[in-house]
Amino acid sequence: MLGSQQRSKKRRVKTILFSARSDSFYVNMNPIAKFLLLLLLSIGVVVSIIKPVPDLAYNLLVLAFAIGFLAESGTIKYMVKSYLALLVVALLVMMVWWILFNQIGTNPIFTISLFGASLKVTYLSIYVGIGKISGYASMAFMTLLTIMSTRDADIISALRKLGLPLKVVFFASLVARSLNIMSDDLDSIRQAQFARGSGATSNNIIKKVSSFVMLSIPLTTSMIKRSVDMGFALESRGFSKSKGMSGFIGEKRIRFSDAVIIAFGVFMLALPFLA
Amino acid sequence: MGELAAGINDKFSQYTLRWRGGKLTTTQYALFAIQMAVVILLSWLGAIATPVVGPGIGFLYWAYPFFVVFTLWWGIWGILGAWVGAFIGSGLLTGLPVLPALGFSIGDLIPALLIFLLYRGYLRKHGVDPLGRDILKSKKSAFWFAVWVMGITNIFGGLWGVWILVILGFVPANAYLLGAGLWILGDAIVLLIAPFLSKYVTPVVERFGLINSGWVS
Repeated sequence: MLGSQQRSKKRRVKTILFSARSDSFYVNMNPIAKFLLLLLLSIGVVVSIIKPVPDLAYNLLVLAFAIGFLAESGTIKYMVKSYLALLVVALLVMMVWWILFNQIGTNPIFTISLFGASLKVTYLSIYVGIGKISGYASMAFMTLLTIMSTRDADIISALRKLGLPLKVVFFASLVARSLNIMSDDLDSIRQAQFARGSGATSNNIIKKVSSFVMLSIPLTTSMIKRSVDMGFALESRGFSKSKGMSGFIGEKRIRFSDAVIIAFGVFMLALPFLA
Repeated sequence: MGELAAGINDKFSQYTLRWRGGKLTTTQYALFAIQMAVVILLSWLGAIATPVVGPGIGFLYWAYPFFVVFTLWWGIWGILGAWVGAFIGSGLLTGLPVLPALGFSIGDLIPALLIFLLYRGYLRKHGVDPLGRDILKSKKSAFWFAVWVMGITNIFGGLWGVWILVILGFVPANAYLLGAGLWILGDAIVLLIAPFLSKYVTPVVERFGLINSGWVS
């Protein structure tokens, strides 16, 4: 009994990227509400960071919200494993660019001489840089939270709810499902190339480009083969004559909690305009 | 000479700018969906597995040569693939927020559209292969590829993409030209793949009867 309870606690669902806890609040949110919230918060953060001095508190609030729900949905480990290094580099580069190319403030902490030019680093330029990277990080975390907590079936269901025609909805579902298939194909081709001593892992750009030429041809032919197979499979099931789609088991209605989340998004969007 | 020119033009006369909005075969329908998935995947790889040289600027965008060739083959589906690939693959899947991702994607959509218009319109009538198979052997074709694909449309994409980053507050306005320059240079390097892809894979796709003769089919 205890074992089955633990298993159900650990149950996960496949999402667009990786997997998430099946009993998570964020995973079970209506996808339309989830994407609306992402859009509202993104606009809010953009309004915050385009100010001459970004609203650091606002950005950190959105960042905390995203990190909280990444933990709640059980996706934070993927975030750390797959994106953290990339994000840290991107944020460092952003910080350096803002310090170098945004010479503001009057009291320099120190001055650097670079190629004959004198670059001053001030408290204000550092604050602006931190404001920019916190805004970028909060938007990146929010986007990844949405992608990592949404199933492709949720997107299909949302598109159906929006009343789009069958052929459009099915096309979107084919794109979503082909992502995994083509990712596996690409991985197999790359592994085969590594086994033959390809230069894909080299730091030399010419070697990288030439190894990508080698990759591109089998990838494209595999794509053609997959689509011919898939076309035959669909046609053998009468796809071109079909008029409708069978119902979804896991359709999500807009619930009270979704409405609360949207209201929170609207409030957060209004904040930077009021401040 | 006139006969030779007429012969070349006849050879390419099936690939035009006509709309051809008739019914797609189920194989084409599946193919266009899969090519979008491939562009999304390559855009994602291009963004996460290449050096970041500026805020929101990756250096080698691997999807670029693919969507160029897919556009030459599949018209509007390739153009849509370029847009979706940039919006989802190098945008949302890498954590780029919705608004910059939407703005970015226009920077891939317009070059793809311009490339299709020039190759299927003007260049086809002037003896250049509209599918780009002769870039490696014809000086005229190589010239147009360098000027139009690696040059003008690529420069437009770079200037647009970094301008969006400046507008949204990710890149300092003073660093606009540096950012755009790095973007354009990186894309020009990966575009060197396109002539090879076009030369070696186009015959395979053509043999399956899967190349669009117009915009849609």
